[in-house]
Amino acid sequence: MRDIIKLGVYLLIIGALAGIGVAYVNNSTEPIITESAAEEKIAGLKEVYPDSDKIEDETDKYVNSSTPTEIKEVNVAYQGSEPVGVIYTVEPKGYSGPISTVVGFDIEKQEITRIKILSQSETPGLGDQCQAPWFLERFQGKKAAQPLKVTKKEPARANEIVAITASTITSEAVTHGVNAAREHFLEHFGQ
Amino acid sequence: MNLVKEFTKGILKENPIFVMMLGLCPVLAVTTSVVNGIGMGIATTFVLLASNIIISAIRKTIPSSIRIPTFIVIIASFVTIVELFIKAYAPELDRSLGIFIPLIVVNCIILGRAEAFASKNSIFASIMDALGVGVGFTGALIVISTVREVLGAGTILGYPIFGSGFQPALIMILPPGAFIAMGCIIGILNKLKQKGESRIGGI
Amino acid sequence: MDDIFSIIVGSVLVKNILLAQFLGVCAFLGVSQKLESTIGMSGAVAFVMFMASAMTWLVRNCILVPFHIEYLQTIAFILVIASLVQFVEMFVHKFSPALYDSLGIYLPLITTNCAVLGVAIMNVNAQYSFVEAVVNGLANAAGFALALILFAGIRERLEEGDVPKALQGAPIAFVSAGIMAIAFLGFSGLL
Repeated sequence: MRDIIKLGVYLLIIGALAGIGVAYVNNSTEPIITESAAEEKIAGLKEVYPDSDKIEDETDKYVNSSTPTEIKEVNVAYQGSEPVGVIYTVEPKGYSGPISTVVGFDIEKQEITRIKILSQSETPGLGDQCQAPWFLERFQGKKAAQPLKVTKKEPARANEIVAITASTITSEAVTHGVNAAREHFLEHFGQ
Repeated sequence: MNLVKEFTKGILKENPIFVMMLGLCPVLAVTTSVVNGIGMGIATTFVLLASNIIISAIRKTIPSSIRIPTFIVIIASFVTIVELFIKAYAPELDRSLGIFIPLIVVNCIILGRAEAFASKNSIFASIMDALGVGVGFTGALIVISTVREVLGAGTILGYPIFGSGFQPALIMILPPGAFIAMGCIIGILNKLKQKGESRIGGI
Repeated sequence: MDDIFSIIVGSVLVKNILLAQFLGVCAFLGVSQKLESTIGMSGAVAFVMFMASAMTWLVRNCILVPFHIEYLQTIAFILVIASLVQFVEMFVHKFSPALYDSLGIYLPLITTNCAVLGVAIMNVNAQYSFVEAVVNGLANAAGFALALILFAGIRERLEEGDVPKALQGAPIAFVSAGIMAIAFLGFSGLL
C-alpha cells in the first residue's frame, strides 16, 4: 500500500513539473501564435483584395444560422469609409477534409477579384494542386451574377471552371465554396 | 572514444529506420518533400535529445515499476513544447506536418532509446546517443524524401531539376509511393551489405 | 445519417488508416506475418481504439476545453490511452483468461501504436461530435483490421515465393504494401 502511494506521488510530481514546463512555454508562445495567425490572415485577405485601406471582420453582421455552413467569415474591405470589396472565408468539404478558401469580390465590378487556399489536406500531387496559381487564376474575374460550373473539357461559357485533371472532387469542392460566397455576396452586396 | 562510438552507431550500424525499422509511420507519411523530411527529422531529434537528457539525469530516482508512464509523460511534454514552437515560428511547417507532430509521442524510437539507453547511461553518453540516432533518423528521412520528391514532383527543395519535358511519376508522392520507395531503398541497402560481407568473406 | 455513413466509408476504405495515412505501420509489419496473430492484434487495436475515441472525447470536452488547457492535449491523450491499455489488460486478464492468452502480448504494444493516438487527434481536428468520434474510432479499427488481415494473407503467400535475397523480409513487404495501397487508391471516388 505504501508503495502505491509512493509511486503515485512520484508520478504526480513528474506530471506537475511537466505541466508547469509546458504551461510556461505555452504562455510565452501563445501571443506569437495568435499574432502570426492574425498577420497571416490579414496578409491572406490582402492578397485576394489588394486595394483597400483597412479590412474589417464583419462576420457577426452577415453570418447567422440561416447562412450556408460553408461560409466561415465575412470581411469587408474599405477605402476611406466606403466599402469596396468583400472577402469571404469559406470551408467547403473537399476530398479528404475541409478546404479553407478565401474569396475576394469587388463590389463595383460585381466580380471575383482572386481566390486563395489557406489550408487543405487533399491528396499530394493531385488535389493539392488546387493551391497552384494556374488553378486559382481560373476563378479570377468571374462575374458574381452567374453560378460557376466545373467542366472537364475546354470551357465553352464564361462561368465554367476547368477541373484539375484527376481531381474533379477537389475542383468541385472549391467551386462549391466559391459559389456559396457568391450567392451570399449577391444577396447582400449585389447591385 | 566511447562517446564517439555512441554517436556513430545510430547513424549507420543501428540506423533507426533502415536497420531497426522503428518509427516508420512519420517516415512514410511526411516524406513527400525534402523540406518536410528535414523538419520532421529536426523536431524528432530535439524531442529525443531533450527526453534523453532528462531521463538520464533522473534515471536513479525513477521507480522501475512506473518507468514507462514516467518516460511517456516526459516525452509528451517535450513533444508539446516542440509543437508550440513550430506553431509559433514555422506555421507553414505546422500545416504540412499536421497530425504527425503530436504523433512524435508514440514514435517508438524515442521510447526505445529512453528504455534501452538513457535510463541506464550517463548524461553525456545519452546526449551522444540521442544525437547519433537523431542524425541517423533525419538522414534516412532526407534520403527517402529526396527519392520521392525527385521522382514524384521533379523537384528538390521545391526547385525543378529537370527540363519542362519531365513528367513526374505522381505515384511516388502518393501514399503507395512511400511504401514502394521504402522497400526499394532497404532492398538496395541489403544488396550493398551482402556485397560488402561477401568481399570480407572472400579475403 | 449521411455524415455517419461517409465517416464509415471514408475511414474504412478511402482514407484507410494504414495504407493512406500510415498510422500503425510498425504493428503492421511486426505482426502481419501470421494470419492468426494478425486477427488477435486487430481485435486488441479495435477495442482500444473504440474506447480511446470515447474517452479522449470526454477528456477533451469535459476537462481540457472548460479549463482552457487545450495545450495539454497530447499529454492528456497519451496518458488516457496508456491507462486504458493497462485497464483493458487487467480486465481481460481477470474475466476472460482465454481471450487474454490470445490478445495478451499485443496489448502493451498498443500504447505506442500511433493509430490509436492518431484517431483521437483526428477526431479533435475534424471537430466530431461524441457519436461521430466513436463511429470514427470503430470505422478506423475496421479499416486497420481489413488492411492487416488482407496483408497477412499476402505475406503468407510471399513466404513461398521466390524472392531475391536482398528483398526478402521487410523490403518485399513494403513493396507489396505499396501495391495494395494502389488498389486502395481506387476507392477514392467513393465519397
